[in-house]
Amino acid sequence: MDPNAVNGASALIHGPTAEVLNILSEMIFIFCGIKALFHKNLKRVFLFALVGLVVELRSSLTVDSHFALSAFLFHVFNYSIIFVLVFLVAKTLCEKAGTEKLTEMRGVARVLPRLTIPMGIGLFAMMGLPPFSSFFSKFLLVFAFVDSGKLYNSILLAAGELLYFLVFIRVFRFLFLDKYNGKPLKDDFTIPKLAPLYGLVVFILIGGLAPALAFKPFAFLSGVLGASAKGAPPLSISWPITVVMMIFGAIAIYFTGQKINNNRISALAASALCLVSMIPLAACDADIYSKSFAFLVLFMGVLQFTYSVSYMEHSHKQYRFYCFFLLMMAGLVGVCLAKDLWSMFFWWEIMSGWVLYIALIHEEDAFSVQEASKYFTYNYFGAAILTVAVAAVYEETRTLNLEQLVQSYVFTEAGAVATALLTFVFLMKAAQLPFRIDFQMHPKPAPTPISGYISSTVLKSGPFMMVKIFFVAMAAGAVSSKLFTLAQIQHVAAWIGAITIVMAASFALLTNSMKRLLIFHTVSQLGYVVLGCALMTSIGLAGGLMHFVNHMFFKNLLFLCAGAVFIATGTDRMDQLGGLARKMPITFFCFMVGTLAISGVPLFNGFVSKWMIYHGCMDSGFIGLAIVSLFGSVLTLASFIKFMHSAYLGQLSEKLQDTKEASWYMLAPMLVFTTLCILLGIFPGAVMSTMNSILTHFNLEPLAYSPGMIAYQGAALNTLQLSALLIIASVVAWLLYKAINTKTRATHVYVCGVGDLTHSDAHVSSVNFYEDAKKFIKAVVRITKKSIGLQGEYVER
Amino acid sequence: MSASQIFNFFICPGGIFAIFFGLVLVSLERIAVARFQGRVGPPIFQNIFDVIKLITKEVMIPKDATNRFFFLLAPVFGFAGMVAAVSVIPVAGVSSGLGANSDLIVLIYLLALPAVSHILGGSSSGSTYSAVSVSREVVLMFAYEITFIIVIFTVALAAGNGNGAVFSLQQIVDYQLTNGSFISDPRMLPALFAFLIFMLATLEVPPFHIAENDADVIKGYLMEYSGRPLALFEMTHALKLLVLITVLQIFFFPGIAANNPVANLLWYMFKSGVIVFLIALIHACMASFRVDQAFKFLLTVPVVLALASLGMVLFL
Repeated sequence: MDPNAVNGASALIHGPTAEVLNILSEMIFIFCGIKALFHKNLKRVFLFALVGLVVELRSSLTVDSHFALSAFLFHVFNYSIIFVLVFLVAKTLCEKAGTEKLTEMRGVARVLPRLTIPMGIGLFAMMGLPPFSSFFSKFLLVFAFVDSGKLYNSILLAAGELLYFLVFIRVFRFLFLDKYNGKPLKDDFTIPKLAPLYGLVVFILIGGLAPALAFKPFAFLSGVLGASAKGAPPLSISWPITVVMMIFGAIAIYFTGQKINNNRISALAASALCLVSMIPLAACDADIYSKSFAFLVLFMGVLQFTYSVSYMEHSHKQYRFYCFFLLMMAGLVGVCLAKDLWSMFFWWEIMSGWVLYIALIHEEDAFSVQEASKYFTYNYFGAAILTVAVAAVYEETRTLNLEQLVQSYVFTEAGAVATALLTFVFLMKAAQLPFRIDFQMHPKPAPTPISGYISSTVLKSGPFMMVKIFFVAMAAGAVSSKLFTLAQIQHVAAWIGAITIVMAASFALLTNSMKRLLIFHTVSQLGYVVLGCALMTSIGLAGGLMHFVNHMFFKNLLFLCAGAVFIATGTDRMDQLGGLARKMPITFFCFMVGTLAISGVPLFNGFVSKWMIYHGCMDSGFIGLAIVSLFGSVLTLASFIKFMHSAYLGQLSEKLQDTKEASWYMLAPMLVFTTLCILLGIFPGAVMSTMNSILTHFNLEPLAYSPGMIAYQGAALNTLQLSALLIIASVVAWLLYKAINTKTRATHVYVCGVGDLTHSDAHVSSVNFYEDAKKFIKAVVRITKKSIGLQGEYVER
Repeated sequence: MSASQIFNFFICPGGIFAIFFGLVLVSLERIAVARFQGRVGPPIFQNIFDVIKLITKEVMIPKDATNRFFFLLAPVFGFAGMVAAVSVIPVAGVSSGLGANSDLIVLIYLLALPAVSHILGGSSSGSTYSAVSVSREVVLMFAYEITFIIVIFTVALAAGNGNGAVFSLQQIVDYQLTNGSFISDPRMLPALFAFLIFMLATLEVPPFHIAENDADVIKGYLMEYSGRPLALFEMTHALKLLVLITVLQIFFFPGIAANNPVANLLWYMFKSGVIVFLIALIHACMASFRVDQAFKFLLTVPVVLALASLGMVLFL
């Protein structure tokens, strides 16, 4: 075949034959997918999946790309290894269990871990997740489509994979996550019997960890066949030392943890690992923006694991949780430090793929598994789009290195679509427009340390990358195309952020679950971050990034407080709580600081960043954005008042009489965050030198500042002065209490003479709050649902 | 802080003067309402006497209050916010507010503090009536803040006069001193009415006497308060009235009488008195809404008025 052939000639199969074949194989692909999704027999499920995927692979032969053939060969090779592995394990497993029915094999993998771990790896590999070989071959295949100009087909391909993803996740849930109730099975496999399986796993991992090496033979082979793999994207991944350290550390914690089985040691080891990993980070040569975020990632990790010492005490297999939590963090640090989009994508998938999934299903009950699977599916969908977007960027610019992109980024039509897709994926990660919060946000039943961490830190990767992409496009001067301009993308992103602020905060008013409320507010606050960052002006970006940091502290603080209440009382429902401030005064104090910070009350950090974001909006001339986002603050305050009243204030119910204050392992991180919230509220200048370096890095004008003041053109905010005024006035008022000494008498509250009220009777709980506002929001929800044809409940799922 | 700033903060127009004048305005309003209703009303210094009396009285703290410390802290919160607010807002021709923080966004947040303080206090007292009133207060806040926000942006844009928005309160005053007050600008009239409605709602004056209604929730969040904490609440209320009246003047008619601070101060006091009479007139004429009626009313009428002004400022 002639490698220089013009369109339509370089594909192995082309012309009308290819069209007919395409339609036919699409039908088989979907049919097999659906069949596999509902089939009860384990082996048949895999068989259908095999047929479907093979048929789909064939489509790459109709693509006019030089290296479609090599990608095809690589992919076929990878999948054959994976399928051999999976079939081998499935066969042995069926023999052991004495049945082939999936429903009768529930949880069987849990009793035979040595045999089934390769199967688990095989399942994740079939989904095309890193660090397994198929991740790369799948990307090459998608790129082959993009290369041949079939951008939309490649989106369809990537979306079609979702069907097969559901097949595999279903099998995984049946085998690995359900409880096993069958007869006892003996794990009596000899090493020679297991060796071939693990040998195959090694193959899969080599393909995943050294993809450039693994791809070479196939490139060569297709070269011999006449279609050299010219123009294939570079497949090398950057491995920052910090990340490598964390991965090895995580694995070490897993194995030692398994042996000693002591939660405190494992948690403190994980905490120490985060601390130690900061050392190589300090020496690494990343830009200030990436490095600061990576530092925060690790800093939050240190506190989160300290908190876990107490929180996870009565849980099970803590070492597994810490290991996967750390691996996820390693992925996040990898995203921060990635110098090219391709490494970024690799680490992105580690961060939000199966590693996260295993950490989230820690409790292993049906509810957590269901919710975690939903979130996994959502992330998988996002990754599918990201695959296409990254491929399209490479197709247009022939480089993925961010520094080179600054020169060569283009805004052709495909480039514009790629930029829009990237923005879309990053907004998806930040869970903007919460139509289905159960899919879009991390699951409620996961352990609180990880929930808090995801909310406060992991989701920031969305806005973080969004800023990078906007910067690259702006620096390259790639701002307008025939389709749309970069400014339009930014404006839409800003509006999505602003609508999210109000939407998520309104939903938070309706919910009765502590964690759900916090999750809604994460989305809402991320709206501020997105809004600020999407403006890409000095003050807007500084405000957005400031909120980025502030939100880390106050949102994590609130999660930790909710976790403390959850541990102390065992319930997540606000209407079953009440009056806890008397029993848990320190937790309550921390919670109050978090509440005031998130509502943006002066003296606390949220106020500073919000002030900057509002000014940024007005500065760019977006009045609507400013009004909507300001209104969001009122809703935030309202929903936290509901939380505050029904959990901490009001009457203490009889059931909660012997609630105890949280332990110091929990209180210490909370107090650290509390201090940070107050300090940054009074001295925002503390982070401004870093912020200015970041602004300079992005070619924006730095802001004038002093420790207690931020100034921008005409406007200035003197937090130190404002705080001084508030504190002086408070001291004067407090002196009024202290200076004049009159009698103090303890009385009972006035209840109109009713004598037989119990505490619970007298307590007004969360469900009774804001009836009129709720009615209004529900009406809006109903209309929205009708107009866009959504079904089901929004808030409580 | 410079000496003049300290003077502004502690003595005049903030601090002692503000508390004194605010309390007098509250009494004035009571007198006016009484006269409208054919009663005599209290003496002009009645509210000052009340506060002094409260300070010397015994303090009662309910055993059921969730957290004693917090119960006492709640009124401090709003009081501090209002004392800070009176010193950051300028009084035309008298003082220019505390430079950097004389900003509309800061003002929005400071003005929310008394409500937050009511909520914290009511909520921590452990009383069921207080809890009901807290819920009402927040529902109303939800409804009236949107009006306030839109009015603020309207004023900021009008003062920017086509060149973006002006957030500095002093600059808004200066703009009107040179270009004429906004009250004479027909585009701004709907915003003026919207702001008046907002004022009534946030001051809990009939027809928005809902959250602390004596008749059904028995003073709501204030119910369990007595002695000094109640005195703080009373002073906070007086200061809030004063701040809102001042803000109304800054937004719509900051005109000055002469080039003399004392004369300007007197003129400012006179204007404030007139506004109080207006409030008292509405107070005396109206019955109160139910909370659901108020919610609907506040979400429609003032919002539409404010938006009308915003639209006119933007496009005319």
